[in-house]
Amino acid sequence: MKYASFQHFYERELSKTINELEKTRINLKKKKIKTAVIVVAVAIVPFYFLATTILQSHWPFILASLLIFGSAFLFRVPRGFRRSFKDLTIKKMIHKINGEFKFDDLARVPKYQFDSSKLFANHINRYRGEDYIAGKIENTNFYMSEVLAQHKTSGKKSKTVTIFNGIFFVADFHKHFHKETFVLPDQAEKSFGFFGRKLQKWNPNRPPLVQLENTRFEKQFVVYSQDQTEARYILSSSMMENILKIQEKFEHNLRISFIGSKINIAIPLRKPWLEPKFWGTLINTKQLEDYHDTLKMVTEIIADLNLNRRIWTKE
Amino acid sequence: MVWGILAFVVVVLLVIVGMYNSLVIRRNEVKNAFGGLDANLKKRHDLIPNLISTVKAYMKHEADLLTKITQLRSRATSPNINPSDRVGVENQLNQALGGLMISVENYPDLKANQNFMDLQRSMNEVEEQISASRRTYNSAVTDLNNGIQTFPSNFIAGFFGFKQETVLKTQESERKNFNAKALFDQS
Repeated sequence: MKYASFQHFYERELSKTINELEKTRINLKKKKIKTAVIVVAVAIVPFYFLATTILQSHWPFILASLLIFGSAFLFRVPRGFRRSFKDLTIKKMIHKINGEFKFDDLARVPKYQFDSSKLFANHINRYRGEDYIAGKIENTNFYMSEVLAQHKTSGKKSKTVTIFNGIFFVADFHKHFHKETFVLPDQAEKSFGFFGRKLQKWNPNRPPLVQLENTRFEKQFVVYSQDQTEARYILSSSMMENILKIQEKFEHNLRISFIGSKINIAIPLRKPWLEPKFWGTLINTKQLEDYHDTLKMVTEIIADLNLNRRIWTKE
Repeated sequence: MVWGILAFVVVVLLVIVGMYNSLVIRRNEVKNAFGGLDANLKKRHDLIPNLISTVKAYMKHEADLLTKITQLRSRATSPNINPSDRVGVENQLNQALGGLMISVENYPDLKANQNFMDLQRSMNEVEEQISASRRTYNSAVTDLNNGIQTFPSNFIAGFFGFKQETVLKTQESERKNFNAKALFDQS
Protein backbone atom coordinates (compact mmCIF):
# COMPACT_ATOMS: atom_id res chain seq x y z
CA MET A 1 0.00 0.00 0.00
CA LYS A 2 1.19 3.52 -0.85
CA TYR A 3 1.24 6.27 1.74
CA ALA A 4 1.24 10.00 1.07
CA SER A 5 3.79 10.69 3.80
CA PHE A 6 5.44 9.09 6.78
CA GLN A 7 2.85 10.75 9.01
CA HIS A 8 0.12 9.06 6.98
CA PHE A 9 1.87 5.69 7.32
CA TYR A 10 2.36 6.29 11.03
CA GLU A 11 -1.32 7.05 11.60
CA ARG A 12 -2.51 4.09 9.52
CA GLU A 13 -0.04 1.43 10.57
CA LEU A 14 1.99 2.36 13.62
CA SER A 15 0.14 4.62 16.03
CA LYS A 16 -2.01 1.86 17.57
CA THR A 17 1.00 -0.42 18.09
CA ILE A 18 3.13 2.43 19.43
CA ASN A 19 0.41 3.37 21.91
CA GLU A 20 0.27 -0.24 23.13
CA LEU A 21 4.04 -0.37 23.40
CA GLU A 22 4.04 2.94 25.25
CA LYS A 23 1.75 1.44 27.90
CA THR A 24 4.10 -1.55 28.23
CA ARG A 25 7.08 0.79 28.48
CA ILE A 26 5.49 2.85 31.28
CA ASN A 27 4.66 -0.33 33.22
CA LEU A 28 8.16 -1.71 32.74
CA LYS A 29 9.71 1.58 33.78
CA LYS A 30 7.60 1.65 36.96
CA LYS A 31 8.60 -1.94 37.68
CA LYS A 32 12.28 -1.10 37.23
CA ILE A 33 12.10 1.87 39.56
CA LYS A 34 10.23 -0.22 42.13
CA THR A 35 12.86 -2.96 41.91
CA ALA A 36 15.61 -0.37 42.20
CA VAL A 37 14.10 1.04 45.40
CA ILE A 38 13.75 -2.46 46.87
CA VAL A 39 17.34 -3.38 45.94
CA VAL A 40 18.65 -0.17 47.52
CA ALA A 41 16.60 -0.71 50.66
CA VAL A 42 17.27 -4.42 51.12
CA ALA A 43 20.83 -4.88 49.88
CA ILE A 44 22.75 -1.66 49.36
CA VAL A 45 21.92 0.19 52.59
CA PRO A 46 23.18 -2.58 54.92
CA PHE A 47 26.28 -3.01 52.73
CA TYR A 48 26.89 0.72 52.81
CA PHE A 49 26.99 0.74 56.61
CA LEU A 50 29.22 -2.30 56.56
CA ALA A 51 31.63 -0.67 54.10
CA THR A 52 31.80 2.64 55.94
CA THR A 53 32.66 0.93 59.18
CA ILE A 54 35.40 -1.22 57.59
CA LEU A 55 36.78 1.09 54.86
CA GLN A 56 36.14 4.32 56.79
CA SER A 57 35.01 6.03 53.61
CA HIS A 58 31.69 5.92 51.86
CA TRP A 59 32.58 7.48 48.46
CA PRO A 60 34.21 4.50 46.73
CA PHE A 61 31.27 2.36 47.70
CA ILE A 62 28.65 4.85 46.51
CA LEU A 63 30.38 5.39 43.16
CA ALA A 64 30.95 1.70 42.51
CA SER A 65 27.37 0.82 43.44
CA LEU A 66 25.91 3.53 41.24
CA LEU A 67 28.09 2.51 38.31
CA ILE A 68 27.43 -1.23 38.51
CA PHE A 69 23.79 -0.96 39.42
CA GLY A 70 23.11 1.82 36.92
CA SER A 71 24.71 0.23 33.88
CA ALA A 72 23.63 -3.33 34.55
CA PHE A 73 20.08 -2.71 35.51
CA LEU A 74 18.63 0.73 35.04
CA PHE A 75 19.95 1.69 31.62
CA ARG A 76 19.46 -1.60 29.94
CA VAL A 77 16.36 -1.74 27.81
CA PRO A 78 14.50 -5.01 28.59
CA ARG A 79 15.20 -7.52 25.85
CA GLY A 80 11.58 -8.57 25.37
CA PHE A 81 10.49 -4.96 25.00
CA ARG A 82 13.23 -4.23 22.42
CA ARG A 83 12.28 -7.28 20.39
CA SER A 84 8.58 -6.40 20.48
CA PHE A 85 9.36 -2.86 19.33
CA LYS A 86 11.45 -4.13 16.42
CA ASP A 87 9.00 -6.82 15.45
CA LEU A 88 5.96 -4.57 15.58
CA THR A 89 7.30 -1.30 14.23
CA ILE A 90 10.68 -1.64 12.50
CA LYS A 91 9.57 -4.67 10.52
CA LYS A 92 6.48 -2.76 9.34
CA MET A 93 8.67 0.17 8.35
CA ILE A 94 10.94 -2.10 6.33
CA HIS A 95 7.97 -3.75 4.65
CA LYS A 96 6.58 -0.34 3.83
CA ILE A 97 9.74 0.26 1.76
CA ASN A 98 9.58 -3.20 0.19
CA GLY A 99 7.31 -6.05 1.22
CA GLU A 100 9.87 -8.65 0.07
CA PHE A 101 12.72 -7.52 2.33
CA LYS A 102 13.72 -9.88 5.12
CA PHE A 103 14.46 -8.62 8.62
CA ASP A 104 16.07 -10.37 11.57
CA ASP A 105 16.80 -8.17 14.57
CA LEU A 106 19.26 -10.66 16.08
CA ALA A 107 21.28 -11.45 12.95
CA ARG A 108 24.12 -9.44 11.39
CA VAL A 109 26.38 -9.29 8.37
CA PRO A 110 28.79 -12.22 8.86
CA LYS A 111 32.22 -11.29 10.18
CA TYR A 112 33.95 -12.95 7.21
CA GLN A 113 32.12 -10.57 4.86
CA PHE A 114 33.11 -7.59 7.00
CA ASP A 115 36.73 -8.80 7.09
CA SER A 116 36.83 -9.61 3.39
CA SER A 117 35.70 -6.07 2.53
CA LYS A 118 39.18 -5.01 3.78
CA LEU A 119 37.79 -1.55 4.53
CA PHE A 120 39.58 -1.33 7.85
CA ALA A 121 43.24 -2.14 8.21
CA ASN A 122 42.98 -2.87 11.95
CA HIS A 123 42.52 -6.40 13.22
CA ILE A 124 38.96 -6.86 14.51
CA ASN A 125 38.70 -9.20 17.49
CA ARG A 126 35.36 -7.99 18.85
CA TYR A 127 32.50 -8.08 16.42
CA ARG A 128 28.84 -7.52 17.19
CA GLY A 129 25.84 -6.61 15.11
CA GLU A 130 22.07 -6.66 14.81
CA ASP A 131 19.12 -5.65 12.65
CA TYR A 132 19.95 -7.63 9.54
CA ILE A 133 18.00 -6.64 6.43
CA ALA A 134 18.28 -8.49 3.11
CA GLY A 135 16.48 -8.34 -0.17
CA LYS A 136 16.56 -7.84 -3.90
CA ILE A 137 15.79 -4.66 -5.80
CA GLU A 138 15.16 -5.54 -9.45
CA ASN A 139 18.32 -7.48 -10.35
CA THR A 140 20.44 -6.49 -7.40
CA ASN A 141 20.73 -8.54 -4.22
CA PHE A 142 21.81 -6.75 -1.07
CA TYR A 143 22.11 -7.23 2.67
CA MET A 144 23.07 -5.01 5.55
CA SER A 145 23.08 -4.69 9.31
CA GLU A 146 24.30 -2.54 12.13
CA VAL A 147 27.84 -3.51 13.06
CA LEU A 148 30.11 -2.70 15.97
CA ALA A 149 33.68 -3.71 15.15
CA GLN A 150 36.34 -3.24 17.80
CA HIS A 151 39.97 -4.01 18.38
CA LYS A 152 40.96 -5.10 21.87
CA THR A 153 44.62 -4.73 22.60
CA SER A 154 46.37 -7.40 24.60
CA GLY A 155 48.72 -6.92 27.53
CA LYS A 156 48.31 -5.50 31.00
CA LYS A 157 46.84 -2.16 29.96
CA SER A 158 44.42 -3.71 27.52
CA LYS A 159 41.94 -1.30 25.97
CA THR A 160 39.17 -1.57 23.43
CA VAL A 161 39.17 0.73 20.41
CA THR A 162 36.06 1.09 18.26
CA ILE A 163 37.07 0.72 14.63
CA PHE A 164 33.61 0.99 13.13
CA ASN A 165 30.11 1.58 14.45
CA GLY A 166 27.39 1.95 11.87
CA ILE A 167 25.61 0.37 8.95
CA PHE A 168 27.49 -2.15 6.84
CA PHE A 169 25.91 -2.56 3.41
CA VAL A 170 26.78 -5.19 0.79
CA ALA A 171 25.31 -5.43 -2.74
CA ASP A 172 26.04 -7.16 -6.03
CA PHE A 173 27.93 -4.91 -8.38
CA HIS A 174 26.64 -4.63 -11.94
CA LYS A 175 29.98 -4.95 -13.74
CA HIS A 176 32.50 -7.76 -13.81
CA PHE A 177 35.79 -7.08 -12.08
CA HIS A 178 38.60 -9.24 -10.77
CA LYS A 179 40.86 -7.05 -8.65
CA GLU A 180 40.32 -5.04 -5.45
CA THR A 181 39.50 -1.34 -5.39
CA PHE A 182 39.03 0.89 -2.33
CA VAL A 183 37.40 4.30 -2.00
CA LEU A 184 38.30 5.77 1.39
CA PRO A 185 37.90 9.16 3.08
CA ASP A 186 40.70 11.51 2.07
CA GLN A 187 42.04 12.48 5.48
CA ALA A 188 45.72 12.91 4.63
CA GLU A 189 45.18 15.31 1.72
CA LYS A 190 42.58 17.31 3.67
CA SER A 191 44.97 17.73 6.60
CA PHE A 192 48.35 18.07 4.87
CA GLY A 193 47.51 19.13 1.29
CA PHE A 194 50.21 18.33 -1.27
CA PHE A 195 52.33 16.40 1.27
CA GLY A 196 49.25 14.45 2.29
CA ARG A 197 48.87 13.29 -1.30
CA LYS A 198 52.50 12.18 -1.32
CA LEU A 199 51.92 10.32 1.96
CA GLN A 200 48.93 8.52 0.46
CA LYS A 201 51.26 6.98 -2.13
CA TRP A 202 53.24 5.31 0.62
CA ASN A 203 50.38 3.56 2.41
CA PRO A 204 51.75 0.06 3.09
CA ASN A 205 48.30 -1.36 3.91
CA ARG A 206 46.82 -0.53 0.54
CA PRO A 207 47.44 -1.29 -3.14
CA PRO A 208 48.74 1.53 -5.41
CA LEU A 209 47.07 4.92 -5.40
CA VAL A 210 44.72 5.83 -8.28
CA GLN A 211 44.43 9.49 -9.15
CA LEU A 212 41.16 10.33 -10.81
CA GLU A 213 40.29 13.36 -12.87
CA ASN A 214 37.18 14.41 -10.91
CA THR A 215 38.60 17.04 -8.53
CA ARG A 216 35.50 17.16 -6.30
CA PHE A 217 35.72 13.39 -5.87
CA GLU A 218 39.46 13.55 -5.25
CA LYS A 219 38.91 16.12 -2.48
CA GLN A 220 36.55 13.78 -0.64
CA PHE A 221 38.12 10.40 -1.32
CA VAL A 222 41.36 8.59 -1.88
CA VAL A 223 41.26 5.60 -4.21
CA TYR A 224 43.53 2.56 -4.08
CA SER A 225 43.39 -0.33 -6.51
CA GLN A 226 45.28 -3.38 -7.65
CA ASP A 227 44.44 -2.40 -11.25
CA GLN A 228 44.47 1.20 -12.48
CA THR A 229 42.23 0.54 -15.49
CA GLU A 230 39.75 -1.63 -13.60
CA ALA A 231 39.43 1.10 -10.94
CA ARG A 232 38.47 3.55 -13.69
CA TYR A 233 36.14 0.97 -15.25
CA ILE A 234 34.31 0.73 -11.89
CA LEU A 235 34.59 4.42 -11.05
CA SER A 236 33.21 5.85 -14.26
CA SER A 237 32.44 9.59 -14.34
CA SER A 238 28.79 8.97 -13.44
CA MET A 239 29.71 6.52 -10.65
CA MET A 240 31.99 9.13 -9.05
CA GLU A 241 29.20 11.71 -9.14
CA ASN A 242 26.74 9.20 -7.67
CA ILE A 243 29.11 8.32 -4.83
CA LEU A 244 29.50 12.05 -4.08
CA LYS A 245 25.71 12.34 -3.98
CA ILE A 246 25.30 9.53 -1.44
CA GLN A 247 28.15 10.95 0.64
CA GLU A 248 26.26 14.28 0.76
CA LYS A 249 23.03 12.50 1.70
CA PHE A 250 24.55 10.66 4.64
CA GLU A 251 26.79 13.54 5.76
CA HIS A 252 29.33 10.98 6.93
CA ASN A 253 32.66 9.73 5.68
CA LEU A 254 31.79 6.66 3.67
CA ARG A 255 34.20 3.82 3.03
CA ILE A 256 33.62 1.73 -0.07
CA SER A 257 35.34 -1.35 -1.44
CA PHE A 258 34.82 -3.38 -4.59
CA ILE A 259 35.88 -6.96 -3.99
CA GLY A 260 34.73 -10.32 -5.35
CA SER A 261 31.90 -8.90 -7.53
CA LYS A 262 30.42 -7.04 -4.54
CA ILE A 263 30.33 -3.46 -3.38
CA ASN A 264 30.79 -3.02 0.38
CA ILE A 265 29.86 0.28 2.01
CA ALA A 266 30.53 1.26 5.62
CA ILE A 267 28.29 4.11 6.81
CA PRO A 268 29.18 5.39 10.30
CA LEU A 269 26.36 6.30 12.68
CA ARG A 270 26.54 8.81 15.51
CA LYS A 271 23.28 7.88 17.22
CA PRO A 272 21.64 4.52 18.05
CA TRP A 273 19.54 3.28 15.15
CA LEU A 274 16.30 1.26 15.15
CA GLU A 275 16.31 1.21 18.97
CA PRO A 276 13.30 1.99 21.17
CA LYS A 277 13.46 4.74 23.77
CA PHE A 278 12.91 3.39 27.25
CA TRP A 279 13.27 6.35 29.59
CA GLY A 280 11.53 8.77 27.27
CA THR A 281 8.24 8.48 25.45
CA LEU A 282 7.92 6.19 22.45
CA ILE A 283 5.31 8.45 20.89
CA ASN A 284 7.97 10.34 19.03
CA THR A 285 7.23 10.38 15.33
CA LYS A 286 10.36 12.44 14.61
CA GLN A 287 12.63 9.65 15.82
CA LEU A 288 10.70 6.98 13.93
CA GLU A 289 10.77 9.11 10.81
CA ASP A 290 14.55 9.50 11.16
CA TYR A 291 14.90 5.71 11.35
CA HIS A 292 12.66 5.35 8.32
CA ASP A 293 14.54 7.99 6.31
CA THR A 294 17.92 6.38 7.02
CA LEU A 295 16.51 2.98 6.06
CA LYS A 296 15.18 4.43 2.83
CA MET A 297 18.46 6.18 2.06
CA VAL A 298 20.42 2.95 2.51
CA THR A 299 18.11 0.91 0.28
CA GLU A 300 18.13 3.72 -2.29
CA ILE A 301 21.90 3.32 -2.66
CA ILE A 302 21.16 0.69 -5.31
CA ALA A 303 19.17 3.19 -7.37
CA ASP A 304 21.55 6.06 -6.59
CA LEU A 305 24.54 4.07 -7.85
CA ASN A 306 22.54 2.76 -10.81
CA LEU A 307 23.34 -0.83 -9.83
CA ASN A 308 20.32 -2.09 -11.77
CA ARG A 309 21.68 -0.73 -15.02
CA ARG A 310 22.52 -4.07 -16.60
CA ILE A 311 23.73 -3.05 -20.03
CA TRP A 312 27.04 -4.87 -19.67
CA THR A 313 27.75 -8.57 -19.89
CA LYS A 314 26.93 -9.18 -16.21
CA GLU A 315 23.21 -9.99 -15.88
CA MET B 1 86.28 19.28 3.84
CA VAL B 2 87.06 16.58 1.23
CA TRP B 3 84.59 14.23 2.90
CA GLY B 4 82.01 16.97 2.90
CA ILE B 5 82.40 17.55 -0.85
CA LEU B 6 82.36 13.81 -1.47
CA ALA B 7 79.17 13.40 0.55
CA PHE B 8 77.57 16.30 -1.35
CA VAL B 9 78.51 14.72 -4.72
CA VAL B 10 77.13 11.34 -3.64
CA VAL B 11 73.85 12.94 -2.52
CA VAL B 12 73.55 14.87 -5.81
CA LEU B 13 74.27 11.68 -7.79
CA LEU B 14 71.66 9.76 -5.80
CA VAL B 15 69.09 12.50 -6.46
CA ILE B 16 69.89 12.41 -10.19
CA VAL B 17 69.60 8.61 -10.29
CA GLY B 18 66.31 8.82 -8.35
CA MET B 19 64.86 11.40 -10.74
CA TYR B 20 66.07 9.51 -13.83
CA ASN B 21 64.57 6.23 -12.55
CA SER B 22 61.32 7.97 -11.69
CA LEU B 23 61.09 9.33 -15.26
CA VAL B 24 61.86 5.89 -16.72
CA ILE B 25 59.13 4.34 -14.54
CA ARG B 26 56.64 6.99 -15.66
CA ARG B 27 57.54 6.45 -19.33
CA ASN B 28 57.07 2.70 -18.90
CA GLU B 29 53.72 3.31 -17.26
CA VAL B 30 52.65 5.29 -20.33
CA LYS B 31 53.71 2.41 -22.58
CA ASN B 32 51.93 -0.07 -20.36
CA ALA B 33 48.76 2.04 -20.31
CA PHE B 34 48.86 2.32 -24.09
CA GLY B 35 49.17 -1.47 -24.27
CA GLY B 36 46.00 -1.78 -22.17
CA LEU B 37 44.15 0.68 -24.39
CA ASP B 38 45.34 -1.17 -27.48
CA ALA B 39 44.10 -4.50 -26.08
CA ASN B 40 40.64 -3.04 -25.47
CA LEU B 41 40.51 -1.47 -28.93
CA LYS B 42 41.35 -4.91 -30.35
CA LYS B 43 38.44 -6.37 -28.37
CA ARG B 44 36.17 -3.89 -30.15
CA HIS B 45 37.67 -4.81 -33.52
CA ASP B 46 36.95 -8.48 -32.79
CA LEU B 47 33.28 -7.75 -32.08
CA ILE B 48 32.67 -5.77 -35.27
CA PRO B 49 32.47 -8.65 -37.84
CA ASN B 50 29.90 -10.43 -35.70
CA LEU B 51 27.93 -7.23 -35.22
CA ILE B 52 27.92 -6.47 -38.96
CA SER B 53 26.78 -9.98 -39.90
CA THR B 54 23.96 -9.78 -37.32
CA VAL B 55 22.61 -6.37 -38.34
CA LYS B 56 23.09 -6.81 -42.11
CA ALA B 57 20.07 -9.06 -42.42
CA TYR B 58 17.80 -6.41 -40.87
CA MET B 59 19.29 -3.09 -41.93
CA LYS B 60 18.33 -2.59 -45.55
CA HIS B 61 19.08 1.12 -45.83
CA GLU B 62 22.41 1.39 -44.02
CA ALA B 63 24.63 -0.54 -46.46
CA ASP B 64 26.99 2.45 -46.82
CA LEU B 65 27.40 2.80 -43.08
CA LEU B 66 28.13 -0.93 -42.69
CA THR B 67 30.71 -0.80 -45.48
CA LYS B 68 32.32 2.25 -43.88
CA ILE B 69 32.58 0.46 -40.52
CA THR B 70 34.16 -2.60 -42.19
CA GLN B 71 36.69 -0.41 -44.01
CA LEU B 72 37.56 1.59 -40.91
CA ARG B 73 38.07 -1.62 -38.97
CA SER B 74 40.44 -2.93 -41.67
CA ARG B 75 42.42 0.31 -41.57
CA ALA B 76 42.60 0.32 -37.77
CA THR B 77 43.87 -3.27 -37.67
CA SER B 78 46.37 -2.77 -40.50
CA PRO B 79 49.95 -3.44 -39.28
CA ASN B 80 51.28 -0.47 -41.32
CA ILE B 81 49.18 2.25 -39.73
CA ASN B 82 51.12 4.88 -37.76
CA PRO B 83 49.98 5.81 -34.22
CA SER B 84 48.66 9.32 -35.04
CA ASP B 85 46.56 8.00 -37.97
CA ARG B 86 45.38 5.19 -35.74
CA VAL B 87 43.86 7.63 -33.22
CA GLY B 88 41.95 9.36 -36.04
CA VAL B 89 40.70 6.07 -37.50
CA GLU B 90 39.60 4.79 -34.09
CA ASN B 91 37.68 8.02 -33.50
CA GLN B 92 35.95 7.71 -36.87
CA LEU B 93 35.14 4.08 -36.11
CA ASN B 94 33.69 5.06 -32.78
CA GLN B 95 31.54 7.71 -34.44
CA ALA B 96 30.33 5.27 -37.11
CA LEU B 97 29.44 2.64 -34.49
CA GLY B 98 27.50 5.31 -32.59
CA GLY B 99 25.60 6.11 -35.79
CA LEU B 100 24.86 2.42 -36.28
CA MET B 101 23.45 2.12 -32.76
CA ILE B 102 21.14 5.08 -33.39
CA SER B 103 19.92 3.54 -36.67
CA VAL B 104 19.00 0.36 -34.81
CA GLU B 105 16.11 2.35 -33.30
CA ASN B 106 14.33 2.02 -36.66
CA TYR B 107 14.44 -1.79 -36.60
CA PRO B 108 12.34 -3.20 -33.72
CA ASP B 109 12.91 -6.80 -34.86
CA LEU B 110 16.66 -6.32 -34.67
CA LYS B 111 16.39 -4.75 -31.21
CA ALA B 112 14.52 -7.83 -30.02
CA ASN B 113 17.09 -10.25 -31.51
CA GLN B 114 18.86 -12.13 -28.70
CA ASN B 115 22.15 -12.34 -30.56
CA PHE B 116 22.09 -8.59 -31.15
CA MET B 117 21.22 -7.88 -27.52
CA ASP B 118 24.20 -9.97 -26.38
CA LEU B 119 26.45 -8.15 -28.83
CA GLN B 120 25.14 -4.82 -27.65
CA ARG B 121 25.99 -5.72 -24.05
CA SER B 122 29.49 -6.76 -25.10
CA MET B 123 29.92 -3.54 -27.09
CA ASN B 124 28.80 -1.45 -24.10
CA GLU B 125 31.29 -3.26 -21.91
CA VAL B 126 34.14 -2.84 -24.37
CA GLU B 127 33.30 0.87 -24.76
CA GLU B 128 33.46 1.29 -20.97
CA GLN B 129 36.76 -0.55 -20.87
CA ILE B 130 38.15 1.60 -23.68
CA SER B 131 37.05 4.70 -21.79
CA ALA B 132 38.71 3.41 -18.59
CA SER B 133 41.93 2.55 -20.48
CA ARG B 134 41.97 5.97 -22.08
CA ARG B 135 41.66 7.59 -18.66
CA THR B 136 44.49 5.40 -17.33
CA TYR B 137 46.62 6.35 -20.32
CA ASN B 138 45.89 10.06 -19.86
CA SER B 139 46.70 9.84 -16.16
CA ALA B 140 50.05 8.14 -16.94
CA VAL B 141 50.81 10.77 -19.61
CA THR B 142 50.00 13.62 -17.20
CA ASP B 143 52.28 12.06 -14.62
CA LEU B 144 55.12 11.75 -17.15
CA ASN B 145 54.60 15.28 -18.49
CA ASN B 146 54.59 16.69 -14.94
CA GLY B 147 57.94 15.01 -14.35
CA ILE B 148 59.35 16.42 -17.60
CA GLN B 149 58.09 19.95 -17.00
CA THR B 150 58.65 20.49 -13.27
CA PHE B 151 61.85 21.65 -11.59
CA PRO B 152 64.40 20.10 -11.08
CA SER B 153 63.55 16.89 -12.96
CA ASN B 154 63.09 18.97 -16.16
CA PHE B 155 66.93 19.19 -16.37
CA ILE B 156 67.30 15.42 -16.18
CA ALA B 157 64.48 14.96 -18.72
CA GLY B 158 66.10 17.42 -21.10
CA PHE B 159 69.56 15.88 -20.71
CA PHE B 160 68.37 12.31 -21.31
CA GLY B 161 65.91 13.24 -24.04
CA PHE B 162 62.60 12.35 -22.39
CA LYS B 163 59.73 13.53 -24.59
CA GLN B 164 56.29 14.70 -23.57
CA GLU B 165 53.31 12.65 -24.71
CA THR B 166 49.89 13.90 -25.78
CA VAL B 167 46.75 13.12 -23.83
CA LEU B 168 43.87 11.55 -25.77
CA LYS B 169 40.85 13.80 -25.87
CA THR B 170 37.28 12.53 -25.81
CA GLN B 171 35.59 13.34 -29.10
CA GLU B 172 32.42 15.43 -28.97
CA SER B 173 30.77 12.72 -31.08
CA GLU B 174 31.65 10.11 -28.41
CA ARG B 175 29.79 12.08 -25.79
CA LYS B 176 26.79 12.20 -28.11
CA ASN B 177 27.10 8.46 -28.67
CA PHE B 178 26.98 7.89 -24.97
CA ASN B 179 23.72 9.84 -24.69
CA ALA B 180 22.26 7.92 -27.60
CA LYS B 181 23.19 4.69 -25.85
CA ALA B 182 21.41 5.83 -22.73
CA LEU B 183 18.27 6.53 -24.76
CA PHE B 184 18.66 3.20 -26.46
CA ASP B 185 18.90 1.49 -23.11
CA GLN B 186 15.66 2.99 -21.83
CA SER B 187 13.56 1.78 -24.72
